[in-house]
Amino acid sequence: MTARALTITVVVALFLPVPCDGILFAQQTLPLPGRDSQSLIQVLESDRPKVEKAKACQQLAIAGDAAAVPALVALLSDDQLSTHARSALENIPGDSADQALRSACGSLEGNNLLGVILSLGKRQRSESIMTLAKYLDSEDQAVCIAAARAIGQIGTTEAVPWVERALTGATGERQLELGKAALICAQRLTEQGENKYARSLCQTIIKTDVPEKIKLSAAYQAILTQGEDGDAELLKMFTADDQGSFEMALYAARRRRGETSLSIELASMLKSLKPERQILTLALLADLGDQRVLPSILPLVTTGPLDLRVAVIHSISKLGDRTCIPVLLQAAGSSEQPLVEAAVEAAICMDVDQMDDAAIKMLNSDNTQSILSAIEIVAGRKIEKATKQLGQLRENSNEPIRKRAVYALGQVASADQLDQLVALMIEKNDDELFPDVQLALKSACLRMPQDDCARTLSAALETAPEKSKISLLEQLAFVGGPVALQTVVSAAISKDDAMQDAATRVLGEWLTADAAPNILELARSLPGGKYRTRVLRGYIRIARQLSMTMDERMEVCRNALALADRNEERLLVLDVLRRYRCREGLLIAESLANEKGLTGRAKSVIQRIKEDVGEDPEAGFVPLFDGRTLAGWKGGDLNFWRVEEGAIAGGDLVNKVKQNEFLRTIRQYSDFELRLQFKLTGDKTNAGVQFRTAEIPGDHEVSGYQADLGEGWWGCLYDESRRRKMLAGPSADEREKPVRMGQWNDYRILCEGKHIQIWLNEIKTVDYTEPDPGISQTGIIALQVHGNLTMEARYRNLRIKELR
Amino acid sequence: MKNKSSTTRRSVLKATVAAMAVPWIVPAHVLGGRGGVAPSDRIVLGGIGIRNRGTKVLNTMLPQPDVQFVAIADVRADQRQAVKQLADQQNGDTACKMYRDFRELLARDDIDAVLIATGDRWHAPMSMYAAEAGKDVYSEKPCAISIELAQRLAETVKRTGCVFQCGTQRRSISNFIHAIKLAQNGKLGKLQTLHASIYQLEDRYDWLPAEPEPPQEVVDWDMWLGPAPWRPFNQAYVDGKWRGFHDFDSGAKLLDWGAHTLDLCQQAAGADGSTPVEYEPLDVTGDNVIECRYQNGIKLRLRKNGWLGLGTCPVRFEGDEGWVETGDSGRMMVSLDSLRAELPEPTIAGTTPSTHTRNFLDCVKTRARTACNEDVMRKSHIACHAAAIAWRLGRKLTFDPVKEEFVGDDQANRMRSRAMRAPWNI
Repeated sequence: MTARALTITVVVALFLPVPCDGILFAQQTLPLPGRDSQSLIQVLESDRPKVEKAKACQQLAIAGDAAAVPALVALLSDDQLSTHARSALENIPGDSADQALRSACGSLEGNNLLGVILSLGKRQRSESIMTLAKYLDSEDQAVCIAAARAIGQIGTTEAVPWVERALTGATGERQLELGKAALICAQRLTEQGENKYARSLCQTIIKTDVPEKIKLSAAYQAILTQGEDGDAELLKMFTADDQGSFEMALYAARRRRGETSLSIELASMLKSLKPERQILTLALLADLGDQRVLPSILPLVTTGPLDLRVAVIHSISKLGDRTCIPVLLQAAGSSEQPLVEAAVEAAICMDVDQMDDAAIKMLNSDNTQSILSAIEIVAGRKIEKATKQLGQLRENSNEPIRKRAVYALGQVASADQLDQLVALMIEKNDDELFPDVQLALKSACLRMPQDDCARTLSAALETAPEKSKISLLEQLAFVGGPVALQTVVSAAISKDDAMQDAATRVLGEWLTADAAPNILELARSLPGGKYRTRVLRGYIRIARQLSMTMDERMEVCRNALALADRNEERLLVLDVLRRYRCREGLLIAESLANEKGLTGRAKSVIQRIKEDVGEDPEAGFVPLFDGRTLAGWKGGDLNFWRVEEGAIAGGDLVNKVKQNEFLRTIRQYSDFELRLQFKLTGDKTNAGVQFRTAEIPGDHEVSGYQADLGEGWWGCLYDESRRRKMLAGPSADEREKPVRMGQWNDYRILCEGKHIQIWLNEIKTVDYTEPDPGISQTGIIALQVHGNLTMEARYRNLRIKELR
Repeated sequence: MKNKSSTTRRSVLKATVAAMAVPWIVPAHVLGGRGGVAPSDRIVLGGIGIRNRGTKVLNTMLPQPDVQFVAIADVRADQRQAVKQLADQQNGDTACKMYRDFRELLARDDIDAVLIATGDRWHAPMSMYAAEAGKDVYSEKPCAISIELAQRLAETVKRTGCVFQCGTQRRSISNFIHAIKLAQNGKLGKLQTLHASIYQLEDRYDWLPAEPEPPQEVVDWDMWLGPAPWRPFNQAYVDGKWRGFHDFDSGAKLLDWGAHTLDLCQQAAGADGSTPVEYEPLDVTGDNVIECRYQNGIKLRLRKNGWLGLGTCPVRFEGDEGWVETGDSGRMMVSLDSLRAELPEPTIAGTTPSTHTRNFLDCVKTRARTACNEDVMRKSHIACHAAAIAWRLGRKLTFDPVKEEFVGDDQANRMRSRAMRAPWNI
């Protein structure tokens, strides 16, 4: 079971079976499992607040049945609750909801009536058509339209005559709205495979006086019902005079199904279309992806208006093959900028190998535009072979060519050429090309193997001039990884202020949490001052923003607080604690609660964490047993007891225990809560936990209260060797119920003054107040194994909180 | 007046060209206004319910030379005024009309397309009203607050023949596109697990205390509620604090990020036409992990925590050979050097809708399918809702992606739809 479902179960178990229980107010997520509808129906019928009734409806929508229908129907005339009631009625299975909705229509008006009509449409029962049809002649236009839409939504063949009759009999705005309703009906018919009915209804719509856009939708629907056969009508729409038909044809052509020769036919009629329509049709052909149209569209690239030629280039980018390379490259070298841009883009996108060689060849052109375009193409296609020529072009006399060649180098350089780019940056340290080389290097680094790249950059760091040095550091941060981190950390402790500045800055933006230990180390080693503060803030940022386990985050918080000497950084830590709320964070936040200037913030964070994790139920408890030794304990016969697997064990399943054995605390306790776990094994068992007990000098027995354990006595309070009687406990047949036999069980003993309470696995078994003023309320604690039995008793996780 | 030469527009569009695989660009002056009534070369745009997020989207549309924003409808007087001011400043006139009732805006024949950026409860109904009125629609996500409305919205778009774009812009942003390509073309090996970020889920059913209703002209509360069931007025809702309330939000807040991130995973899995078949809320404290599984075994894990620091709305795709993770910063992390070799440079932040709105405007002209069209929206929204229903029920659910219904769980199936408050009827 998920954690959330568990919470709900607990909550449900707590509430009382009265109709006004508070659960309906709460921010509790619905549905509530196991909620019986009867109590919800009672809420609906009561005079409880509307919010409760709304919530009852929401629960009934998910889990209600026919029994809830009458109470829900009664709300349909309530202006404020009818929508809630309808949500339930729309979802209740069976006919009763339909019948109730239909009969409710007669007594409702206005929006409440409209709503019910809407719900009937949504439930799509053809039995509801007759009820709805009565409203088609309503004077109230909204009611008429709602009824027509509902009938359309039901959409069976029985619905068709009603929809048609209403549509053809109406005029003006009413007819427009009824046309929309008829379209709904046509769509439903198509979904059910009633294509003939659907098509015929669409034809009816087209013949009415509804506005053009409704007719276009109907024409489109009609085409969709026909599959391939619709192509003839579709082609007619491409050549129709009105723009609306043409546009709807573009739309429909992309959404029709099945293989056809539509593309071919469109291509063949392309020449007869006006240029505007040619352009849009080219876009369509590109989307349809049929390469057979290429011979028809290629010739257009040399004739016609510029926009048309651009459109041809664009469609080549999707449809083209290697035969288009010369056309594209020629366009890329032309003097018309839009054509150039389109051609470059297409040349980059096209999945044709021969393009690479053609583009490299074009780098040697003597036309400036051709060179520039070729540079963009080799860059966009990341053609590594072009490196050498690009290297030459970066010394070209033409400035744009130089700049773009540097850019392209960054795009095409391979890992073994990275050092050349670094060298180029250092060479251009004081040159106007520096920013371009910087960007190129950044592009290249993005693609390089991480550690190799970091090593190349690190190697250059020592000898580079300052501007390049800082750029290299930024690059290293961008590359990331352990090698880069080591270099940047070293730079942060260097003597060079500019280096320190850049390195501490980029560390504050490091992308991965594995940098945390190095950054902590750095923060510790730096002397106080702005760089240490900056590094410390970067360290805290890792816990705030990056991926870590909760324990790691808390470790960062503790380390950061140990180093922080200003409240600004302590506040950042508090912010981490607020974002990642856990019990340990609570302790850290509490340690800041009395710091000057932090109290307010710390308290609000503490409050927020407590809302999530609650108070620590283990706060104030100290262990009585260290899990390894019997330190703090003494015999009876200390040799009888042993420590195994983190537990104190006494007895075994082979030898009979001779006599009662008690393992005793050295200390005495008065008021306390004791928690522990026990496990008893053996055919017949008897053990227990003594408290407020006295040793009897010279005797192996002890005297005092015992929280009893074992067959017949689970969870009882016995008075050992004193009054020798059972003081309190569950009735005999209840005692065994909470116990997990042969397994670990929780035991909890709470002593406050004369008041003694015991819980076994969180079920309270004893609530006893000592009436005898002569009985001592202080003493040792002792673990018992009863004598004369072959059994083993184990005790572990013993911890105690003293009260007072 | 705006400069409408195609060269200028192209330079505006350069970002699109860089980011999109193969953009289609139609010169601004090529196509007459739709229906022949608009000024000859522009898309005439109206806006509905535009505040914080809406303004970010609108700001990418307003400067486009082929867009003329002419009308704003909002239930709040102050917001109507604010958007009008923005538009008038851009247009250099005072022509932007204000409406309290969006139906008056939709009734205008000169408007080609609308931007809808209200709260979730209105997205689907308003989109459907707009589609039936013959408008193209850009709707902010989540586009539908229930499985049923996602279905009906997609059907309405199909029925009317309008162009629809769901405002999940990350599909039009280069780093996400590249990550998806790595998943799709086997660069990560056989896909194993896709990860989508979501944040803390919350599903509230309480009502905030009733406050006196302001005059209709200041805040039209009845119109604000719209299709949602009635409840008393409280200013906090109108000021945007409606998230987490069941009546107003989508899938217990899961869709706020999930509509983006799960959608990206759908595309990475090659599952745009389908959904996962299993949804299991896992017991991970406070992390809201929901594990889903596609028919072919690929897992989809929705989770809140444990992301690299790559910005909001991160996704991670894992194959048996490598993984990629990316987020709104535009930066990408990959597990292999061979994957690094092809990483593109970051372009725009994941929250920036500029390339996505441009894709919409291009499709308004070409009538082509948008990047996040009605079918894409339908399946990824339904998958999100199915995951949220599994979380609400606290149990594993099985789902039939074709019938779009849960298998053998009546309660879950009944959580697919809610009633729409009359008179809203669409």
